[in-house]
Amino acid sequence: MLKLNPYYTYQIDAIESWLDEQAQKGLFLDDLVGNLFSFVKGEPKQVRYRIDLKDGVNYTEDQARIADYREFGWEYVCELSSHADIYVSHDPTAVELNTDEETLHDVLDSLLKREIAVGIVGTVLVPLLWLYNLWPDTKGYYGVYDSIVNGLSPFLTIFTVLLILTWTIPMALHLWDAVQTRRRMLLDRTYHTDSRAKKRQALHRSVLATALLILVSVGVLWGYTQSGTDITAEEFGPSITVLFPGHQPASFRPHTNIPDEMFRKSSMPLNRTIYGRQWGREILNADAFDLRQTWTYNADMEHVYIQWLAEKYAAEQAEVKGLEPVAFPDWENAWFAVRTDDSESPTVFSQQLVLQNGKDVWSFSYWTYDEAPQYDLLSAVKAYWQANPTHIG
Amino acid sequence: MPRKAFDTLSEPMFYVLMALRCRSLCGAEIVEWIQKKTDGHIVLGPGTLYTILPKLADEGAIREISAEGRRRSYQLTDKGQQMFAAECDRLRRCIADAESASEEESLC
Repeated sequence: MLKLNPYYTYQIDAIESWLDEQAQKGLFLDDLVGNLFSFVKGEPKQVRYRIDLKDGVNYTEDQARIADYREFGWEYVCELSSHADIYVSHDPTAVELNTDEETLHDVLDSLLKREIAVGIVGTVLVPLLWLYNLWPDTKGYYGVYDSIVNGLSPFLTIFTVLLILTWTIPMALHLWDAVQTRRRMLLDRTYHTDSRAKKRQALHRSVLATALLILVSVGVLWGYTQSGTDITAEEFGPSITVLFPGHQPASFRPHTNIPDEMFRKSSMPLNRTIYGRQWGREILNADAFDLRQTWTYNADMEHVYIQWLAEKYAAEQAEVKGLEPVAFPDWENAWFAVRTDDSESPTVFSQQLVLQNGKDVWSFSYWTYDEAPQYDLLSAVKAYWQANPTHIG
Repeated sequence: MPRKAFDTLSEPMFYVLMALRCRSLCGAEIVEWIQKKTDGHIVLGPGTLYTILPKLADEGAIREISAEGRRRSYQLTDKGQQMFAAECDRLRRCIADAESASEEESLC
């Protein structure tokens, strides 16, 4: 039978009392697996379980110690931690294992100082580091609303905060208990009570269950976001060929006819998206796979499930991309910009358009390199919208 | 405020040194000797004893002299003799102070 250890390993007085109590119920300690005590059933009996603290004891000394203790009527049961062993005595006349409070505290306190240091680091520093690492995710690459709409960050943030709590609460308790144990008379063995053990077991169980639930939820959500499927250019709709007739993506490889493009539909927890990516390349030397990027086209059509989020997201996209409001028939908001960036080589000519109406957000980007674009993205999308007003949303 | 280690001896340490003054003993014999000497007032459990013994050995107060099978015996060193003598002096002073304080109290 397995039972969760209700106490921290250094709460030796409480563990001893709890084990004695289990023996009186007919459960005798057999081994320890992680934080689970393994018991074998037998006739209820008054036996004593005691914990021997060892600091800096090597294996040979450990074996000699076990043999020495046997002479005093104490049998080794199992290791509680690398610093503590559990012994049992069935002989009521056997002298107690630990008889001097001060000696016991001398060993325990040096171990507890380490526990307290670990507790402080665990309670304060680890959560801070987690939150610090979480911050860039929360901020998102294109902003907060982008990370909410197109990522798992709001969920991951909630999960991370919960995970931090499942870490911090036991760590804070660990720290508090370590401080209290240093102050307690351990040989009195008055700390353990049945209700205290049950409360602590309930806390440990709920912390474990919460952590497990969080991990499963993250797995399920992640699986959900990976469920995107490829679609055809026709299903996608406004591919570059449709917007700019005659404009074809290059072959992915010079010797094949596979176009360099990708069309997919995917679902995130807060939106449904279809998106297309197409690339134009000029083949300089097919045999040497020598290519030059000539243009890039990105189009995202997103249906965000919450309208205010769609509005904020579209506005954020426009701001991040530095777009200016423009009039676009039938759409509540539209932003557009044409730019030339010759600060680097090759010169980049870009046209970017963001549209938002209700819960629908469209984002188009068209870049050409070295050569000014022959096509007008804004006019082409307007024409597409007039011809296909119910394509999405 | 805890006592600085080995500045003064704890009661179990004091009795362990006392037990080893005349001859070397193993752990069980030390416990038996102390129990007999103190009429059972001082009882050392193995956990306490085998925490103290390595500390005293590290301090140079005792040394492990044999390990017959798994039985280890311990012997008092010169330093251990000095520590024991110093502790006896300290305790004598304590008793003298206490007696003198009692005499003063009786005059109050």
